[in-house]
Amino acid sequence: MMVLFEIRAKLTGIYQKYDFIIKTVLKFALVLITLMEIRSRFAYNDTLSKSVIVLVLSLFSAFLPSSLMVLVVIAYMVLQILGLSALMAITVCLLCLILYCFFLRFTPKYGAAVVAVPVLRTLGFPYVMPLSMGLFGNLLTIVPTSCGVFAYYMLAIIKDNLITLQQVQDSDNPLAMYMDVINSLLKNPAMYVTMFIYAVVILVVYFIRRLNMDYSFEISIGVGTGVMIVGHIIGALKYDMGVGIFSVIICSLISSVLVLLFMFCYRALSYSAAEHVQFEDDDYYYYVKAVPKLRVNSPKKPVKKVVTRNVRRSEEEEELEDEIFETMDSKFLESTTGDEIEDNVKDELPLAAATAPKPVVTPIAKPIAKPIEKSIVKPIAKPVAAPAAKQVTEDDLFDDEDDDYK
Amino acid sequence: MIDTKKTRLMTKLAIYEKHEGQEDIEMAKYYKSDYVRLQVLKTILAVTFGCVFLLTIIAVYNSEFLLDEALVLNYKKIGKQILGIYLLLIAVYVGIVVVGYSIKYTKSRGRLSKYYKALGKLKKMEETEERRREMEEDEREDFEV
Repeated sequence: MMVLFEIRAKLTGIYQKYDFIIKTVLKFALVLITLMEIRSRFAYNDTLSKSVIVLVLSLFSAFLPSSLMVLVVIAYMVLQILGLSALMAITVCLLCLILYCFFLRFTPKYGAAVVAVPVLRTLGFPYVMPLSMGLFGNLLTIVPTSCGVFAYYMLAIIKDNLITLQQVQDSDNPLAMYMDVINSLLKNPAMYVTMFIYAVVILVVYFIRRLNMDYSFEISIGVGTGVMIVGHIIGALKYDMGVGIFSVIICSLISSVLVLLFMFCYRALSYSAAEHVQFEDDDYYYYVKAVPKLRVNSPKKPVKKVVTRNVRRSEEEEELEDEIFETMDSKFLESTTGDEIEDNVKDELPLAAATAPKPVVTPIAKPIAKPIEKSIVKPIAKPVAAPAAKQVTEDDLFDDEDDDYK
Repeated sequence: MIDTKKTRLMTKLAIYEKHEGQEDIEMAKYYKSDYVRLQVLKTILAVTFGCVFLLTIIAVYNSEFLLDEALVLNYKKIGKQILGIYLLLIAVYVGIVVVGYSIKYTKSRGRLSKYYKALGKLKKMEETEERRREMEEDEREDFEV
């Protein structure tokens, strides 16, 4: 378990250090996969199908806000379909605009979810989205998730009707294929059932993870996965859902494990060390349960400093150096939390480096002559189990004291 | 010497300004009623456009029927039905928007007040530091004299 915590601490450290780069790379990967998926289905525009264009668009979208990122993806899809059928391109464009006007404009922060649902479904982990939205988001995430499901089915239906579309291109009645696509889309029970299941899963996960009980996050993922499997089984009994029950079970379990891993990286709580306190003020009596966050600092390797000097050192200098190192060691031992150790390291080391004389050893056998080397092994900080650095939320944004509890 | 408490406070302020802060400060330019009214206007506009797009799709879907029955259709009845659905949609959306954006505005004010308190705290810290520095300089001057 300690190894897991160490890996988590390392990953968190890397994420905190390269936050912007990691987010940009993830957005780039998301858009790249989406555009390549669209290109594999509707490569009707030669210019837009070039790999260079796809790469440039993905790179450009990686620096845009998620709402504009979705716009780029929709524009790319519409222009690709335009190569096949103008009417179908206009229809797709209008459907996307309707989604935006009625739903997506209220949830601009979750625009990436609309793109992520079809992409994850294509990759084989479709159930990661509803579980993670319920766990990390709020109830509004039902809207973009449902829109994502709609987008997935819209693309799938257009792809399924491609042969008909190509045949109809030359025929006299282009409206027929338009009506076919709209019919298939609107009279598609699998789409509505999937939307319903995802919405229920988000609701269940959201409400269970907010309950006042131990391991509420883990339990919410478990129950959410159960609801997902049962929902799909019931749906499959009545309608053609397009997925097998066995694959639903496997995919749900893999998705729940992935979400558990995300949650472990995001927040790990020590329920065994939970504190129950009671106090009162003029207006209320408080029953407070504080659950500390778990974090283990990654062990730092001892740094071996090799200093060479050809000057003989006086006894006074040696005594002064011993004093300084003793003081520093005692301060490190007094420190109890990771934050304090980090502060001490940052604050004290430069000062010590500036004031302490360079360590030199006086030779005993040969008093003068050659420069002599001495190795000083000085531990900087030991691994300490300490409460974690808190994720900043709106409630505790500017409070200094409550950084270590859920 | 780095003041860790001040650094932490400044970091938290900067994080807030980077994320929710921008939107909250933008929101604070309006009174609550003005802000909610603006959002209602935007929503009415969006729903109107949405309805137009939806009607276009439905009209194209039923274009054959519309062309065949163009002369015998009861346009008054159809118009009333469309208007009724449109007004119902507007009423539902306006209701949701008024409640939703009122809550959003109230939350934003709460965050902003915390932000301004933290700014005040930071200002006090800086004033204390400034005073200490002046005292040290005075002491040094006295010592030199």
